[in-house]
Amino acid sequence: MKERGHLSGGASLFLRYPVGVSIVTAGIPIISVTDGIGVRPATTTSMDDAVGLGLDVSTYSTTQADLDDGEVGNAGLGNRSYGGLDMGRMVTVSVRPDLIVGALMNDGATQGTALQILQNTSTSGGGTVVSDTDHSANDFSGGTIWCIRGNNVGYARQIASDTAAVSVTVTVPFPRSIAIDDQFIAIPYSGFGTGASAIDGSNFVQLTTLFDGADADIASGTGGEVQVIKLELEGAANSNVLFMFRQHQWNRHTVPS
Amino acid sequence: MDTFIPRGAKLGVGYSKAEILQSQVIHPQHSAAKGQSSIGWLDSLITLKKVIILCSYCRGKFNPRKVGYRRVYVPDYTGKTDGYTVNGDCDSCRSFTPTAGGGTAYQPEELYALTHQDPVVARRQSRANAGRKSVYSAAMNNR
Repeated sequence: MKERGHLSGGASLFLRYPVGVSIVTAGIPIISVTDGIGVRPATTTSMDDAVGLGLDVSTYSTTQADLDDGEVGNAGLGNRSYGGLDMGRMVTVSVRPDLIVGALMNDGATQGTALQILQNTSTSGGGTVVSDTDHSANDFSGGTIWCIRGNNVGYARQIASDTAAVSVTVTVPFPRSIAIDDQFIAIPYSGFGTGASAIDGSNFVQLTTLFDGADADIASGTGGEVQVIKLELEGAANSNVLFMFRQHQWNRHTVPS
Repeated sequence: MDTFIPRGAKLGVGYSKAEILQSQVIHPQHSAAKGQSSIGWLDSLITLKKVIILCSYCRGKFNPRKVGYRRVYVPDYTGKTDGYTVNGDCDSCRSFTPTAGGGTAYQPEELYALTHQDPVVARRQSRANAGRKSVYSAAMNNR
């Protein structure tokens, strides 16, 4: 995931925090937990108490050690460098609550998996139905579908209803009829919505296994709480969802007891 | 013994507002080891491939290319900064960078692509994508 700016503009603020577990990937959401040891990566389905976006990796250890760890000059940078067991236990985080995070959308829980391309199998003269048995078994109602090949290239619509592994239907028709073999991509995310059933594509994003991207093969309204800011709808391998954390630790409306 | 108490005395009298605020800031950043110089601290950050933040006074003394680092760019929607301003605690002089002319962050090249955009590459990709569509459909696409 990438820092893609701040809703209110201005410069980023980076702070360092001790970690409670090892962080092996840069560019993942970092959250607070209740153990008081340090921050941790988010889970695939929760970004509550978000601290921000982690920008480097770190190794957690309970071994007592000074900053230099007694390993003077161990990295070939001259005798001023240090192994830094204690320094290694911290992570740099971009902490502003209005941070906009950009996440690559994937067809599943593995980062880098291209989205499923739907190849329409049944003509829709009214431009409202895209049919393909390759469509996800998850309910994308409230998500978005856009055309990448055929009469409607570049046009996107919000998904009104979804028949698992069969078709998706939109309310506002695509401007031209949908022909057989036209290609579309459907995702469970949307740029707007209230969170109610079938209009909940803008309120949740599920993360990939390593927390470094968005799993776009889940039901709309599933995952960690966010607010989608924008969708970058391009091809199967380079489309992104941009979002803000809804449960940021500096943006709390209530204090936990 | 007489003790003189100034009239209207309050907690914090004698300290400036800035000093009082500074005392309340929690610094999660680990401080340098006793006796460790700022150069040693920076070398350690580089060894561990950590992000480095420097204030406007200190950044001129750091050559990121020499150690495989590059400047961090984050788009600024207001345009008030050029996108290369990042604030935090300076890793050289320890000052909070907003009070030291603004900060700049540096990141190892191998981690940069995971967390930040290259503005030149982003613009090239955006123009290439938009070139495949009409202006209207591109706008619809990016709603």
